[in-house]
Amino acid sequence: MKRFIEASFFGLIALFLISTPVLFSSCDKEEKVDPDQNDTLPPYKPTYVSLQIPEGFPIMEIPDDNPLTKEGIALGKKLFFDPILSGDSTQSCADCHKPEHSFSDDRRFSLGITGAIGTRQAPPIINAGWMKKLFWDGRVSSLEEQALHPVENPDEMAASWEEVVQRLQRHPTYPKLFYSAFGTTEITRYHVVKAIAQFERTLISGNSRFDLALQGKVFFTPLEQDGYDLFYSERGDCFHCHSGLLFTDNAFHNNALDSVPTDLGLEKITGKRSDRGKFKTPTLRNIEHTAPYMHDGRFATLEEVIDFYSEGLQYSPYADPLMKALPQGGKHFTPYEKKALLAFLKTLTDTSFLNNPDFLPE
Amino acid sequence: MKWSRWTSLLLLLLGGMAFQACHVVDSDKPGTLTLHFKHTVDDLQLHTDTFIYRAPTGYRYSVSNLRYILSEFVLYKNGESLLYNSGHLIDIRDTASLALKLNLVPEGSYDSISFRFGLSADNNHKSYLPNTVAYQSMYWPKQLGDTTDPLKDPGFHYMQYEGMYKTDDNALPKPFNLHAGPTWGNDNSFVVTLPFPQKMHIKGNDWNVDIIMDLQEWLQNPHVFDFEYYGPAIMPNQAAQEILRDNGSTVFRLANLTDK
Repeated sequence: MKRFIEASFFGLIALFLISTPVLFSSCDKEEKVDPDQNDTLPPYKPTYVSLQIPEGFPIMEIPDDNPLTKEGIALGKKLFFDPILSGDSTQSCADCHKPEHSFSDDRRFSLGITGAIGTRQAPPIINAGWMKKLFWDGRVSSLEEQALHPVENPDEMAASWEEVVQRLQRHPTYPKLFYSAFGTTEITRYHVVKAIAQFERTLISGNSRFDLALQGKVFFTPLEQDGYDLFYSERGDCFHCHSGLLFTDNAFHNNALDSVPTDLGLEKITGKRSDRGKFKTPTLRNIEHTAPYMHDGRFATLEEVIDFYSEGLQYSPYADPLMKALPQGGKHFTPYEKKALLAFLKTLTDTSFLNNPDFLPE
Repeated sequence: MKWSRWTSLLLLLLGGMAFQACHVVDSDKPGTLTLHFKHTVDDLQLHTDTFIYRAPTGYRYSVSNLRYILSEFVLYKNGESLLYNSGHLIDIRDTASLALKLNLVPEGSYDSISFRFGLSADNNHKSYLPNTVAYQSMYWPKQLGDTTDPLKDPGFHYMQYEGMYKTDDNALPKPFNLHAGPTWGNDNSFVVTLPFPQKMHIKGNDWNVDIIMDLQEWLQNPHVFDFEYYGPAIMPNQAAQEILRDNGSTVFRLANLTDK
């Protein structure tokens, strides 16, 4: 009996010795093993990147499954400017999201490869890493998901993902670039959109005259200062929707553009009548360079936009309560107030963003 | 090398420590209290964007949006208090914001809870709350803050309660925006203390309670708030802010305190 107890005891010890490394490792994160690594490819060693976030900007949430890497960002940029993603290889993302227009389109509606005309204005891609809902109607919830759509939209790039992935797979350089970015040479559509999303997260603008004024490095002119004060007053009341340092609340509003909204906006996604004509608040950063304005590009100039908020509000039962001057048809700004608002809006221009070589094609 | 039984025992002890490293030690049996934020109008569950409510002025009204910040949650037991010194933004359109879990509530019998509606003057600054897009959209502009001190951080709105009203059933709806906050630098926040319906006995267990805001109470008791009189923009109006502050004392109540 004593021998049995002794044997059991030392058996337990042996079991412990075998299992101890397992117990300890259970406290650690599991390490990924690269199934594609082989003799012909160098070890997969991505260079992780931390973004330079402008002072005071909110925390940017990066998805755990798509950390930013130097290789992923470079690949995303190459794909963004490459027409290889379109059906006939003639159109890239940048054809409608033009860097010189803060990655928006100066046309009211963008043209697809077949000549089809879109129904909404291409929104700017600027500080997009902070957006939790994408498209004017917020129908997707991540940059990765957003990038899946235009490729197969028949009115836009009119391709199929199968075809695009095959093209990339056959390409002389893309498989190596995907390997450097994601550790695999087997390309999928999800690698493509992850890379594009990584590049888009780097498109940060926070170095405008407004930012420098906040930091005390420059001073507003008297006209800009009056516009700034008007913007942040109940009289101007722009700041509730165009809030924070991103100049958007990332929410959806019906801003009284139409008495009978023809584009249902958010209602088409939620099915709720009360969401009729609601669209996502666009950022005002670089607004000087993102004409035309509104979801349908109906206003060609910022002056027209200010006139709309001044005299053009249209009554509808769906208008947002933040359109406080709805019963009066608008704020009825004086000519000086309009000039001041315009001057302030132009302080949001960030030329270092527009001319950043990291954001321009090679 | 010969194994000694003492060596083996030592290894067993180390093995036990490896297990322990993965678990939190549970000694004084703290528990949790999850606050569930619910919203009613005249004690009936809130339904947005429909003209089914009637203000004490007789106007029909609908509610479109409601966001507000509560801070300084305090639990009380036998004259002692336990402060959870943080703020929380509640947005009726963001389900995740409708619950707040207070962790590591020490063992004991608690009889009440208090919290501050909005943020005190000392805490109403940008670094007090998380720097997210949602919180930034609650910023209070310095143009409506303490204009005698242009360098002072004006902080946050306490509340954005928005909707439409009709002065009579055939009238066109007009907007109302009950935006509460530190108008001209005044501290318009206030503390609400609510007794639990029964003692909350914490001993390693998890409790839940509903904190119910009745939106009608903002418009009555003790003062009638007239949308037509105060207009759609009350941020610069300290008199309107004081009406909201007074009416706020009966806006909140507790219900459904349960030990799950």
